[in-house]
Amino acid sequence: MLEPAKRHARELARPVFYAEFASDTAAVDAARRLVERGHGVLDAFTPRPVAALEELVAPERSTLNRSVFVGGLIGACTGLGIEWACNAWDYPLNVGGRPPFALPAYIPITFEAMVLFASLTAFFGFLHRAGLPWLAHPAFEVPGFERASNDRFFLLVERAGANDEELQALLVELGALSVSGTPARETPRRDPDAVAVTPNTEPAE
Amino acid sequence: MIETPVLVGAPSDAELTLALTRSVWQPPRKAWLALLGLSGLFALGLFALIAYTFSEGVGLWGNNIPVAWAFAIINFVWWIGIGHAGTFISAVLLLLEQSWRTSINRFAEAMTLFAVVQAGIFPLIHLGRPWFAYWLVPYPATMELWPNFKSALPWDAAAVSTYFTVSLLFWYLGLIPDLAVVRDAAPGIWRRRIYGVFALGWRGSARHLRHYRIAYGMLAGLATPLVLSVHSVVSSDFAITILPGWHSTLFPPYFVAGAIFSGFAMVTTLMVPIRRLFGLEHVITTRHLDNVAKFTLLTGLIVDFSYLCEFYIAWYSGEAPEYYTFFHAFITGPNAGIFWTAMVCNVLVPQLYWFSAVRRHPIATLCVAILVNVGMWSERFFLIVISLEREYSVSAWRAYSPTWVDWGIFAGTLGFFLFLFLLFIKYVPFVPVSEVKELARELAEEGHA
Amino acid sequence: MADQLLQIRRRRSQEDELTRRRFLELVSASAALASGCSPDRPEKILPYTENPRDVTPGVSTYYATSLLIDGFATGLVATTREGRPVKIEGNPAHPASLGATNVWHQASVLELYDPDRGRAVSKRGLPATWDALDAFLARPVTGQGEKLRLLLEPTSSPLVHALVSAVKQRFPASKVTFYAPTPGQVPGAAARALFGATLAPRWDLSHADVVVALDADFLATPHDLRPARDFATRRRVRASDGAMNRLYVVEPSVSVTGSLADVRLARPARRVQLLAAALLAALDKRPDASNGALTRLAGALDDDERRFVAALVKDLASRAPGATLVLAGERQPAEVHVLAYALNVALGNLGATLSFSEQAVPETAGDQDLPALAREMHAGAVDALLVLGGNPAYDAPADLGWTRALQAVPVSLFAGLYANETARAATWYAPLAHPFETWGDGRAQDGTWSLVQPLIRSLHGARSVTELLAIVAGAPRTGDYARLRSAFGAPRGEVRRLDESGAERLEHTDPAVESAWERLLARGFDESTAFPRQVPEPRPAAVTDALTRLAARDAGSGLELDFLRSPTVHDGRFANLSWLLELPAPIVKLCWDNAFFMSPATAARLGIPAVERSEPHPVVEVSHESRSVRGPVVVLDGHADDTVSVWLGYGRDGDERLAKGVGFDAYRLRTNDAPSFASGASVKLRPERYPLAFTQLEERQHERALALTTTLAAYRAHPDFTAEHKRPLPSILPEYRFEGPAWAMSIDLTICSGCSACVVACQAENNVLVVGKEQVRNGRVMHWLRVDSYRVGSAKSARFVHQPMMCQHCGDAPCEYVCPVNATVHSPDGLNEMVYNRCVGTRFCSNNCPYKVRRFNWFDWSVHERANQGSVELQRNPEVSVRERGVMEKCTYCVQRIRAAEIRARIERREIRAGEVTSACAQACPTQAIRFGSLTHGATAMVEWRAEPRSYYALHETGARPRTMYLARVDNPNPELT
Repeated sequence: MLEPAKRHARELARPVFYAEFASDTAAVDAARRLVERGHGVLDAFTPRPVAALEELVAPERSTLNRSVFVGGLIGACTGLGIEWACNAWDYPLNVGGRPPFALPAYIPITFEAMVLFASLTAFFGFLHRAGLPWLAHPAFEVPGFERASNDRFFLLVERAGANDEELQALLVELGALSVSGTPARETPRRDPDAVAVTPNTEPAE
Repeated sequence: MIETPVLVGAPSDAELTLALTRSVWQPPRKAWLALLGLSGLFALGLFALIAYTFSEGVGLWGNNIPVAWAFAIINFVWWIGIGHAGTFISAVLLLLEQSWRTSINRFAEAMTLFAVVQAGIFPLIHLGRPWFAYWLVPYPATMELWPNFKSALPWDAAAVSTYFTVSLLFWYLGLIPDLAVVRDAAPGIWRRRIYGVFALGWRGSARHLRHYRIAYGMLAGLATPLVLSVHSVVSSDFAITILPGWHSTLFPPYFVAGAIFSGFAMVTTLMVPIRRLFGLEHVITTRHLDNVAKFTLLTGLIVDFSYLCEFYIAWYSGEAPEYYTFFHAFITGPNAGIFWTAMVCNVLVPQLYWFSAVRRHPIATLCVAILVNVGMWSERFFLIVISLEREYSVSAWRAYSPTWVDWGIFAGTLGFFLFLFLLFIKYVPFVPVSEVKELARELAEEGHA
Repeated sequence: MADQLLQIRRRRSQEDELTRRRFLELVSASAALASGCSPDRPEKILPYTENPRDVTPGVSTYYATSLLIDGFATGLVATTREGRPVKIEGNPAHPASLGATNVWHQASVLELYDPDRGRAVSKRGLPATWDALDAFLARPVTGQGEKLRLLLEPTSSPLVHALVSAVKQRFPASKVTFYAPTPGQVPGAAARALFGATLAPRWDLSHADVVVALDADFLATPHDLRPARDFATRRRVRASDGAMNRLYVVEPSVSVTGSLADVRLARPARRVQLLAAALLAALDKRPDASNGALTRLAGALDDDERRFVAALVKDLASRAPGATLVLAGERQPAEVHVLAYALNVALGNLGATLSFSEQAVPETAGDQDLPALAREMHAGAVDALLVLGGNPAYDAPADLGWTRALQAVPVSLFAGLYANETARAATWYAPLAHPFETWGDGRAQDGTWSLVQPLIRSLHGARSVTELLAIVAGAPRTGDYARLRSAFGAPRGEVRRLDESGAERLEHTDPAVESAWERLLARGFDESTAFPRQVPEPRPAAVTDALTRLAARDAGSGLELDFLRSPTVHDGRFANLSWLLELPAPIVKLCWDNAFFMSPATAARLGIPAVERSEPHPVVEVSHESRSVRGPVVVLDGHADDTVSVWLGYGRDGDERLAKGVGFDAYRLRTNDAPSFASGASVKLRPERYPLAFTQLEERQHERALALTTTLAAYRAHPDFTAEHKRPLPSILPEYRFEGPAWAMSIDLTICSGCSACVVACQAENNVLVVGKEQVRNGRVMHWLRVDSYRVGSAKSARFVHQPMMCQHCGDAPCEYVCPVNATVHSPDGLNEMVYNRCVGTRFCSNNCPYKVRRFNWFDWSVHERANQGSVELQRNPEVSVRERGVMEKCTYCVQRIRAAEIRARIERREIRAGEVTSACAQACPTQAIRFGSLTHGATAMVEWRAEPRSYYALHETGARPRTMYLARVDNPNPELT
């Protein structure tokens, strides 16, 4: 697993096209066709989850669940460990005649610590893997990208090793409402060139 | 019989976006402003009374010996109970793939959070020396003293803070895509920026969704046992004691059922006015009312069964103090009226939910839900207070009556809760937009098939 | 005028502040006093860099002294810290104390520091000087003193009596009156009639198998703790086949003694004479005894009384001669005492359980009684009246018109601890010194001469009665010490010397006299001065006389009104002491108020609605002889029918700020001819209600194993009846090994009289703050030790079992494991420790305490409650922290005493000895019902008691494994009356 920052840097280092589609079916069809033709579909941006697109762009399973398991385990050990250390090891006291290490009484906190650590792992593990927060992602500079959260479906198509004009034409042919692109660049952020290389074209429908 | 749909019509994505985020941009209504002002005043009153209590002492309340715990703990348990339905709806129903949850889970989660905020106030302010509340936390102090983890109160502290944290994470994780929706739909640059910060840069990436789905599912999976554990732990505040009326192994499931019962009642209490006010009858349909009512009925029956068990065991045990608490103190004791209120509201009233006409009628179900809320508050009152009023040492028997400060603080938390909730429904998309879109899509596909 | 008033006010407010400087002044001065100098001369203030002799900072010093109550001395030991008295204990060697104390002894140290005490001389309400007063006292009247009258409280003090004689020498025509509102001893007239001499009875309760108490609350005698101790030794049944005495009580209300009775007959006080006569008729077989008067009196009995008398006579007759004792209370008229003496004579008790001795407080000392004095005053025959102590303007019989009489006297002086009602009516007011501030003396009931030693220099520059008397007598102003010293040794050998601190000392040139004096000071009393016991010869004719008089007198009918000394504020003299105001009265558990008590049947007959104790109580207007008083009604199980009893001493209206407005003044109903009980009262229900503060609201036990009771017969048949309440309980918990001594307590409920001395002792020892009436009503009383009283038997002849209930120091303490911050944990020696500094105040421990003995600081009581403020703070025990608001507190088994003993033992490189440590409650207990010690110390009473079959743990089934063990209450009822 690559470090997310590096991975994103590499992702951004490639020249890409953002192709906008009107519906999930159009986007899925286009993505399939692009993949068949050997073009790399790096990502898809959709207003709601589209299972078929996810399968295309990220077929591998997330490893987040494993991290959560480990986080939970660490949490449980931490919880029980603190209880043991405080009450049975560092300062054992006779409290109501109960044994210093009273395991049944220590279960609730062990459980709570497990859930807490696991949950924090799940949440921050997700943010880490998704590279969030990233408030100034170049995608936001793509014209019309705000509709990606509303009713448009964007595909992120790799331009490397392909003719830009051909690919663009192909995307339009596959039903893209617009195709925007970013050139390859060294520093991914704050690039003044991150503008559309082609004007938006209205679909021919 | 044709099932009422969980979504009325086949709205497009754009329509849904508009419908579900419109309220954020519209100028506030007068009614909302008035309510916000009123609840804000109550919240201010709450803080004033807390300051008063801090400066004078908890003697301002009606508590005494033997009734060392009263309103603060009743309110704590009540609010925590209400805080159960949100996460239950979100997590358990998600795991059970109940599609109808989608329309109501967001505000139910918010309700949870705000209820837990209210609940969290009480253990703090009920302390004799609240400025030392942090002593419940294991931190390396110069005195090298540690908390006692055999007590249920550190469990409580751990459970409630974990519950709050996990609920917050779960709520926020679910909210991220919708914050992105609002960000993208926001009319001005500042709103874009503010919502943009909270949206963390979400862009609906399929790569993210892959992790997102796991994270959300994981949190749901963790929250589910957590929901069950929190009220079990809260019930341990009573169950680990030796006090007749408290000392009961039945308490954890009994309390969990009661919590979800009251939580669902509160969901109804909030849901009915909201769908009316915001015109969301097509998103929060009578199907939702119906299902929530069914859950209320089910958990209510579990609560009723617990009452039966408790009374049966008190009789069967042959223990004089136990028997006295149940068959004398509860029934005819100093605050027996509260006991009977609880019985009517928790046992009799929910039986109306056997009739589908009641379940589907917004006003009827609202009335039942409010009575259940009253009933569950009364239940906590009689369990906590009456048991203490009539415990082992007969010479120490004494009745409890709350003071105006007690009532004021309770009313203050109601106001504070409403205040937070009003802010939430105005400024946060309280129906999950992307999830409803997904649901709409699924329903459309089902329709085609 | 306005300027003058302003000045007065300013001066008062300055005086109110007991500043640090002033305190240090007092402390060093009193330390110097301890070495025996006269307080009259100004002493040098000593800085603490040069320690005063006998004072080590941080170490307690103990002084033997005495306190006079009802004029009788009780020997005490005062604990002082850095020159400040903080705690009073009984003097174990003193015959009237035997080491025990009662509530008043315990509270006396609070009285010393009472901020409401009078501080300055005043004349007609304006400030005056001692010099001006001295000038008046030196010459109060002209001539032989025809128009000079003195009014004093009855006292046993030889010093006072000597000075009164000196006054009489200077003013031969003056007259002296001794007056106390409530009788302090049985009337000497009875002995005078029967034996020809004014004698006081001496009871030997330790040899009486049957005790018959006729309206006699002998277990709560304010000044003598011996009867309770003697009774307890005969009462305590040691083994299941052991013997115990049997107590019969006839009384109108429910007294401490009555609550312990085996057979209790609740009857109006006026019927006691009938019962005494009936007993005499049945027991005295001599022909002259069976005269017409006797049969007439005995014939007036009702069925219950007849049954009672028959059974009692049979019981008495079956006992050996001299093995019984019949007591009549001091409230009863002399004739009844004659009958009681005659009964004892008939039973052969004279010379056995009953003997006589000279009266320690001589009844015959005065020239005239109060009514005669009042008549003279009304008639203008008094020019100067000196009232030295007491409070006649408040407590004189209502029909004497005392206040009007006082107005007819041109010049009057009131000297008292407080500027009370009498001070307001008098011309002059002089503050009196507290007994702990002066030298003085007194006699115990048995005559033992006891010294009153000052423990601190007078806080407000006040003087003693003897100093004032000396001025009137024109005696040289040598000071009380010199007078006392002179009374002890030959005056001619005295010299004044300077001791090392520069203070003057009075010393004797004869070293033998000097060392004897030092011994006396150290011991506090001289046992050789006890009056010899006499067994006088009775004159049977006196019995006939008494019977004739009784038969001739109208016993009265209708509703009886009983005036009772308050079990907490006595006759009103202690009404400003917050500990006593907040002390739940024995049995009734009422505090901060008095009330009219009556039986349920009488209340029903009078149409008084029944209410719960927590509810506001109905108010009635009780009228007697054209006077009426309003007050709340408390219906009391076991109270006699047709009787309303009321505590005196409330409704005060002097300068005492706490006492003001507490309760109502029942003296206003009391007339001279019926000072203790009167017939013909009427009761009218009023529409208003009045809230009362009770600390216990429920008098039944509801089948809980709290205070177990049995009868002697049942105990003999089933000695193991408590086995269920001490059997080993199954437990999954580990067995803890405790180190060192294992502190524990054993409490015998059979001999606990419920007198509540332990409650005040605990309060004094442990800085337990008072909370006020409202907070008591709220259930926030702070007493670490409470005495629970549960009803035994039917409501009609109710008796009560008393259970001192404090922290039980449970082995598996339920309070401990629920504390989230380890603020209450177990010490290695088995104490349940409360760590105030660690407490955050969750109150979880209180919820889980089955004994409900934990107390919570709902407020900062030292700020919230005025009664805790001001100079009373000087009383606080420096070994015990005053608890902050928000923390839990409870009985510690007096851990400060345990730790002090540990330190002592460690310094001396030894183990703590058996009996070295005792708790404040155990130390105070008059019957020694509470025993404290270590389980490892073997053969102490505390350990041995636990092996008795009737021992048990309260609420054993909760599994708390308490350290405190109770011994079940055993009653010895007459089988014929059950």
